[in-house]
Amino acid sequence: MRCLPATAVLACALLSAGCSDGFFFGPQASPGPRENFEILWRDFDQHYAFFVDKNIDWQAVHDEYAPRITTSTSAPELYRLITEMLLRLQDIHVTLVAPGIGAWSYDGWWRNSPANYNEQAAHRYLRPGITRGREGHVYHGTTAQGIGYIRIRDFAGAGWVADIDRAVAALYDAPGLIVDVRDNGGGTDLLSDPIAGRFADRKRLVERVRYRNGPAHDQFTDWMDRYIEPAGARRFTKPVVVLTNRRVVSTAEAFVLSLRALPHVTVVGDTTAGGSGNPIARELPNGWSFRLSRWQTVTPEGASYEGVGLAPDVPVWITEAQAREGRDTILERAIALLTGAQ
Amino acid sequence: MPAREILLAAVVPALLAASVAAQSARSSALGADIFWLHNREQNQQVSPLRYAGAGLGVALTYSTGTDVWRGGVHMAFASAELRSGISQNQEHVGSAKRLELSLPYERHAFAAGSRLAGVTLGAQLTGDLLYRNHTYSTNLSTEHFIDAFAWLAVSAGWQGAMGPGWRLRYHVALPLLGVVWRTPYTGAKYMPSAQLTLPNTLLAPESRIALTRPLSGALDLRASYELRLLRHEATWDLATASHRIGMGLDWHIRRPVPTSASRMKGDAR
Repeated sequence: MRCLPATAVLACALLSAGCSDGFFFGPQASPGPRENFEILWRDFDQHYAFFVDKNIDWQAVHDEYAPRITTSTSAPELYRLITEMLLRLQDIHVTLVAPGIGAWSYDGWWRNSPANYNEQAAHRYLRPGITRGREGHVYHGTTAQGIGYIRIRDFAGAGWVADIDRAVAALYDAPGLIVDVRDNGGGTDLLSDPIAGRFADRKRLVERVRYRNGPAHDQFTDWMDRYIEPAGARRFTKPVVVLTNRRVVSTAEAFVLSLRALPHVTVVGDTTAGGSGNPIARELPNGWSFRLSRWQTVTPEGASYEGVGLAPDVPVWITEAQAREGRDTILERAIALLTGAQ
Repeated sequence: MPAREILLAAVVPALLAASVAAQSARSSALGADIFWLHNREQNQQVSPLRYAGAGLGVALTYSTGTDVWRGGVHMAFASAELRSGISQNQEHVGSAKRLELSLPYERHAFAAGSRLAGVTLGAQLTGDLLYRNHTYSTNLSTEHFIDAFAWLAVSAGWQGAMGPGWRLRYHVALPLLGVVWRTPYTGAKYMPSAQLTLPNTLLAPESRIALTRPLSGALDLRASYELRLLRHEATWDLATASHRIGMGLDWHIRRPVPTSASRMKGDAR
């Protein structure tokens, strides 16, 4: 058996060679414009969650755009064509990042809406002495009427829920609390869920979600229930008003959905953005990145708010004249509700 | 009597008898290895691109057996940072971690003294847990992917002397039948039930060649090269190739009294 060691080495060598690119892995995707377009189109075709809801014939979209992309299509032209195609989806969570060319996201959800928020104007209603959280995501204070005010800028980052605990503890004796999430661009539910729990009286159903789960556009997992649950050492269960505007997006909308399930919470302001789809990221061989929505969210009653938004209990807009005067009529209405003035 | 009972009645006593007879020559060893690895991976669920990178791993082995059979447990953990042609500092980068568990069992296929006395044949249960994360852009959150595979493989080995004190061992395993849990269609947050998979969709050959040399009466030094391939064809194809070069030690906690029939010692893999 002198030949066995040599056979073993040969077998190892053959297996090593066997995992060479062509044999084991198959062909590598090329960075050409047509292939990039096809990969992006296919990823949407196989992952995107709202084709049926939005009544979009994605194959027809492909057949319209594919012939316009050739091997000589430049990168800026490819970017223009792809963003034009993605605009059909009218989805907040759909983005395209092309280094050196641009970063695109759908902005139709807020472009024609009033701002309904001005931070400086809101501060005029607060007593001096705002307490800021350690990482800048949150601050709190008290209105001139003694109502607690917590501002949550976003739900990004990690590990700052303790800032909310400090705010709740500081404002615990206030007769009511305003939670201002206007212009909150979202983040992660790993933060928004426990923060919402600081206002929960008991476990309550807040939304139902399902993931795209197959190549057909109507293939989904079963609906999965999501709950708000009490969290934190101290919870504020006295009257709470949540302030919203059109730029409350994604995770911030899930936060509003959670809080509005509570009987002591009233939502005041404008309708939220309507971005209910949890996004996944993907990439292309040419180095571009994009995002698309992979799940659907509905209210406990089964209503989708994708592209529609969550309507407030008390709709209030700040008119241009009021904004020029430095007034925040949404905040004014919240104070009035909590002081019993209205 | 049902066929299953007949089979058990015939086979179990025979196995027990063989086991008892072999007790006198039983040996056991504990092994520990550290290895450098180079991974290549193409996971269509993560990216259309191929990613590659180097890393480190550790392995622990317990092997036991007699002149007739050899079995044991092998565990390994490997980690590698992966990049592709479009990778930048913090974008289009990922890391892969892999936890492996193998339960090999092999028997000598040929009589002592024959030219093929060093050849063993057997089976191996293997479980691999693959974790992969990927950062597409600093503006986008990092995605996580988890895939788990368990399979039954046929295995073969050969062990022989390579000069004074040196021993060479070669081991190869090919999967027959497996169970697969892949990160589902749209991400790791929703795990599906397991899927039975066959060799036509799961290809996971592994081969290992190791050279050992005694350092002392109870300690062997080992150098090894291992290649682990894994390819699963599904909605999202996954293919990985891991080359590993390692060094390790075997501590013989129980050695047989040398006899002319003794022909197996060292690691079980």
